[in-house]
Amino acid sequence: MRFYIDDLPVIFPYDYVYPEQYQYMCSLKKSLDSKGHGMLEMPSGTGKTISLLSLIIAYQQFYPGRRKLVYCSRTVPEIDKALAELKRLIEYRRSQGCEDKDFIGLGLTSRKNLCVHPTVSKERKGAVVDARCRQMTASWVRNKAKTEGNIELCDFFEKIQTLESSELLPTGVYTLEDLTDYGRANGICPYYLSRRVIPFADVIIYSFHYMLDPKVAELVSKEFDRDSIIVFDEAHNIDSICIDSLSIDINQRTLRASTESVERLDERVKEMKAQNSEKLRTEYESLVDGLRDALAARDEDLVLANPILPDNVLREAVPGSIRKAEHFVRFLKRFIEYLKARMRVMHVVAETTPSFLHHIREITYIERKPLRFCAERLASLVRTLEITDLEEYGALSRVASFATLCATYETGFMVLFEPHEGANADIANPVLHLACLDAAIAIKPVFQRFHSVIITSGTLSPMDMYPKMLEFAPVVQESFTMTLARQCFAPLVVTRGSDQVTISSKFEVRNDPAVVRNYGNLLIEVARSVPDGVVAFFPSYLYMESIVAMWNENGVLKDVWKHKLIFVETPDAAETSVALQNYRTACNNGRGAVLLSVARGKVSEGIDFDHNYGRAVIMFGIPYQYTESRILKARLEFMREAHQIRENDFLTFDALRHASQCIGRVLRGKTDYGLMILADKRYSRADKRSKLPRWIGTCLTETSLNLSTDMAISLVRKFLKVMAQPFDMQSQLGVSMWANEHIVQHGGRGDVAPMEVDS
Amino acid sequence: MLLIPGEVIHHSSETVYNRDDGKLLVTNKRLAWCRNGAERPTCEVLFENFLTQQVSTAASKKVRLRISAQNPESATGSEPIVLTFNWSNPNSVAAKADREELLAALAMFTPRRSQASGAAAAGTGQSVGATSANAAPAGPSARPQGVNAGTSSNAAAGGSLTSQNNTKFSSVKIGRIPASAEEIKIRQEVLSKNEDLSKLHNTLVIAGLISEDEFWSTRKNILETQAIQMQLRKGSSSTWLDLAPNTQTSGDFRYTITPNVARRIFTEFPQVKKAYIANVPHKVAEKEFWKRFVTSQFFNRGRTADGSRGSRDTIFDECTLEEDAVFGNTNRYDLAYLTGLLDLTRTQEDSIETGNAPDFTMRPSLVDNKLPLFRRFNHHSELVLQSVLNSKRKHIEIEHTAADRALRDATILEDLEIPEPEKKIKLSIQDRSRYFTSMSKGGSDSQADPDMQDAGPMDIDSVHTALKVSFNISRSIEGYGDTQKTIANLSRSAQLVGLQKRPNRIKELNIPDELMKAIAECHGAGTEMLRHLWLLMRLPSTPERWQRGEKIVTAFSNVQQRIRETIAKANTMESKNPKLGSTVEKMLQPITESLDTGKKAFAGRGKPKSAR
Repeated sequence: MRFYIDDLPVIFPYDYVYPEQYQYMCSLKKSLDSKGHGMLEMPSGTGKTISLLSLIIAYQQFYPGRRKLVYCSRTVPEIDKALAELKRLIEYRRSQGCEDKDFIGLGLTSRKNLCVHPTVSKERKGAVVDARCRQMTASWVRNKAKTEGNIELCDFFEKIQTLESSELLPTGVYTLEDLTDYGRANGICPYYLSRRVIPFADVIIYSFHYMLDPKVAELVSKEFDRDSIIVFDEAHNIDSICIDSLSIDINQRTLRASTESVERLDERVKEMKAQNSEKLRTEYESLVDGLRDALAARDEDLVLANPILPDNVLREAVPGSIRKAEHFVRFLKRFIEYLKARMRVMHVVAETTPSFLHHIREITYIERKPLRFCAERLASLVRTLEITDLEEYGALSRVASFATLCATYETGFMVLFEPHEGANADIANPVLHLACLDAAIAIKPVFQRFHSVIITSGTLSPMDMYPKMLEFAPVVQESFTMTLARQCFAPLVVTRGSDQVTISSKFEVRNDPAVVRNYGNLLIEVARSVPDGVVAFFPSYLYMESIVAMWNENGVLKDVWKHKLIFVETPDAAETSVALQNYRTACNNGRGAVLLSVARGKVSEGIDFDHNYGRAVIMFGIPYQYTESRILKARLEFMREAHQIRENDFLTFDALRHASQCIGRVLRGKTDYGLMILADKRYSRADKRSKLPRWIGTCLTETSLNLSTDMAISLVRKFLKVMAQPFDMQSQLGVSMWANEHIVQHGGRGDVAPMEVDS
Repeated sequence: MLLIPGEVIHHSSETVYNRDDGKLLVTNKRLAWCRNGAERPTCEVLFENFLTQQVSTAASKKVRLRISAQNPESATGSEPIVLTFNWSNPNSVAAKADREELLAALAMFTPRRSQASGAAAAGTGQSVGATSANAAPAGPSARPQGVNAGTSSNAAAGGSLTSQNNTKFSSVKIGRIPASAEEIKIRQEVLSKNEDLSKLHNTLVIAGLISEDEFWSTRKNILETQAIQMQLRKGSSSTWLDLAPNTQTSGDFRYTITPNVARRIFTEFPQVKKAYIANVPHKVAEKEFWKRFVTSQFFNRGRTADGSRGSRDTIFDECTLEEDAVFGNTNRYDLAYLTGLLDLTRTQEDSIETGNAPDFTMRPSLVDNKLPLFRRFNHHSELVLQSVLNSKRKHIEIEHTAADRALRDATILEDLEIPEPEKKIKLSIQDRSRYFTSMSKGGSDSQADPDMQDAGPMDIDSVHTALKVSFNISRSIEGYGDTQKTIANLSRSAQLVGLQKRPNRIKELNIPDELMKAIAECHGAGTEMLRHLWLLMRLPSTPERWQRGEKIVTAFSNVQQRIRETIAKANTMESKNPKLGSTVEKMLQPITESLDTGKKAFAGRGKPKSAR
């Protein structure tokens, strides 16, 4: 269908549009027009992505300037899906007579996911693929191959070097699969192809890290126009990603590996000095000139990463004390020895970065300034020494990044040393954390650089939290509810078992036999009365372990097995993927299955349980973070002081966004239906409920707010019976689904006349 | 009691059967009851004939066991023989315990009916140590003492036998004359399931009106369906293998491992199977093997919350290591078989690992790891799935098109698209009993509410299609649609009002159930006879055919008699419907008329020449 928003003709690749999609597009356009940031919440499963793409592509193609769209998503499957939607949209636009000349849309991902080299692509670990790829594609390797014979190069990479940028990729939209197919068919490396096409592409889709992690952003996102439109989809977790991209853990293994790497560096330096000191001298000179030149090296040579550095630092020259290679190696050795000494302490130490630096200076006489250049200097040295097996230097670069970050930021970070595993003092596992506390640091450059940054998700409530945490001012901030012709999802709060014992995952009672039993009965009853797939989420992996083991022992699971197969999420990604696949097969055959998984886990982030794959979700308890965690405590303190966010507000907000994320996974489209069972006494309280997204919150009525298991099950049965009735789509029209005339009715501008191009 | 050569008694209980005191014996060949002092058993059941067992409820005073078995005399016997035994011990607790022991012994030889023949053959393996006097101190850590090991190495082969048993129905040729034994079995099954059909069968075949084969010749489809149903193999049970011990009076535990259980253990834990083959019987006795199995850590970590329970054991510690090695090796998964949308490793490999490690609540615990348990769950579910789907993830295509389709399915919102008009015509019977009445002669009924006829709300769809042909724009439908919609709505609501007012016209007639049944029977028998009669008349006439026809026609009088009786009954019956008699008469009129027509037509044909 085709309609106007203001003067912008939007082509939407369906026959109807949901009212909230239309409103979403209106708000989105407002934010693009004003060249300001936007925050939009729209219920999951109501076609957020397609609305977003339809509007932005229309905008891009209609107005002059052709603003590039950079679309960031959470997971690779979501990137895939977004690309598929884009492809369909562009095809539809073509059928409607829009030419969209020279349109290129593609996704970026790692070598592991794109490699087509016959042997390298068979490697299972991404790091190994990276290393083997570099061994064949680094510029010095290729130079060497020109003179020496027996060096293996990658043909796919060589081919791409011979191509002009205009002949790289025909226009169109490429899913990741399409890209590898194209690469395979034409003998071109899809990975480097995608990197080289970035400047010409109209739409780029990749994961958050490519924009937020300074190490990666440096490589791929630096050159985007200020006018580009940046979208963070599924961004409810964006603050954690920001924080993660700047936090570093160092354990004893890292240090051991670093020591080895430093030794090797030392040898290489000596070797090179003996053979050919020319290269080292040129490097020295370039370091005197400043770092900028080094950064100008070609992409594939920019081998080692460097964390974010303020521009003024980059313009300075590297301090003299570490300019010489051997000096720098010795400097690194000293720093590593210092860290080793710190690791031998048997008690917890938490300090600010300035105090950490101060201590370093007292003990080792290492100043702050050379530390700040540590990562950059290491990258340069690795380049000079022509090292390709970067795998081995991963630990060392980690240590160097650690040093640089510590020396660069005085606030927003904390150095924490923990000698033991968890709360248990018996298991020694010393770890030195550099914890980023301020989510704004990583995302600030993005907000500053680009005019329009859109943050969107199904669950952003309460919406005032994000502008505070990320320190930005949205011009448009909107939350949409779901218009429904029939109530197709039922949130139920179960507060007690059939025996009236209160159920809760509160730490004091969670292992209480009565609670365990009642949670178990809830699972049995749901498995008994719900067809096909049931997904259960637990607040933590540890709790899942203990409660599932208890259920197994006291026979709860025996009853569940009678009705459904059971699958469990494990920490291993491949194993869990196979379990998921089997879960789906079980949902398609026979009586279905139960999937036990963890909120905040891999499954809760990005796997959809729509239609028969999830007719009910049970959230056992409230997925609070582990509040005794020292890092979390430090972060809470930081937020209280810097952003005036109260600890409890943040904790509840964080727990409920994950809970609503979990339960939101059951819906896609308005013909789908699903049950959302929140099993904890505390969900019935107003302070928790108010933090649920509006579209879920409004469906929580008095009748569903304080249920016992048996009451809940009778509601479940009733709901399923109602939903099983045939549903006449026509009754949706005008209510939860608009055709063109409904848009006109609601004061919009429809486009009833056929398009000129049709004739 | 005299024993068959090679027979060993495994358990005997003092019981009462037919008010006689005696002993109920479980041997390795049969279940037999022998009066005290008698040499020959009064009754016996060979295990291959064993069908089901039932026990009295825990609350009941009497301790009973009811056995049903196939009657060996009539190989195709329809009625199973049922034997009921009462335990004579007045102390019901002791009697129950005795009964449990007997059942345990019985379970060794009488696997479930579903696996009957195969397992029965396999079940003749040795059974070791029926009871063991338990002197060990009973305590919370009570270790399992007695282990009944009744397995043999051919137990694992039992599975394939089972499937053979069921597949024999797949080769049945329905409709051969004379019918094969299998077909006869199928016919019996059908009759036992379908009451109406069996009544009809009684009136027609047993009465000798038509032959058995003729009766079935018009019902081939029913037989074929039944044959397919019978050859369906029951998949393996999805239940978790749960070896629950019986608690003995002394407080000790006792596990019973039957061949079936052993087979399941072997499929569930291939490591145990390997260990079994390697160790039994030359290194350890079978009983010892199972005893060590149930006490081992390997077994117990799948059962108890405390993973370290159970004793260390050289054989099974190795199994533990082996299992961990298999499960721990995630490279065993061929990720190429995964649909891309579910492959979590792609996301994992997409970014460089950053950030602080998750806190310890989000990782598997280091001390008391439950991972093996979870992996066993996943493994078990996978096994069950595979046993149903037969092949290992064969159904997942890995081509590009499949990936595209998966993406399409995962992204498209179908409800936003105008649904394609369906080509099929929907059959919507609003009221089945009404449908039946409409066959009666009261034609006025159907004319009474003409709105029922154009009830199809589907009209609007066809309008859509028509519009689509003449105008290329779908949007304008709405303009046109308004009148159509109004009309459809009007007729719909009229129909609804009609239905609300008189929701079920047949119910208004207030015909009692038994009468209704009688009417249906008359219809059924009459129609069936007529069908055969007309069939005979269409065929070239021969003396036998004529004779049969005559037989059928004479049998018409039976039906007519029934009809008269029914009408008479209706006339005398008390009912809310004052005109019950005439209503019933009206309902039965068509069949009476048809019978008359058939009779006349047959009489008009006369005898074939050769018979004269």
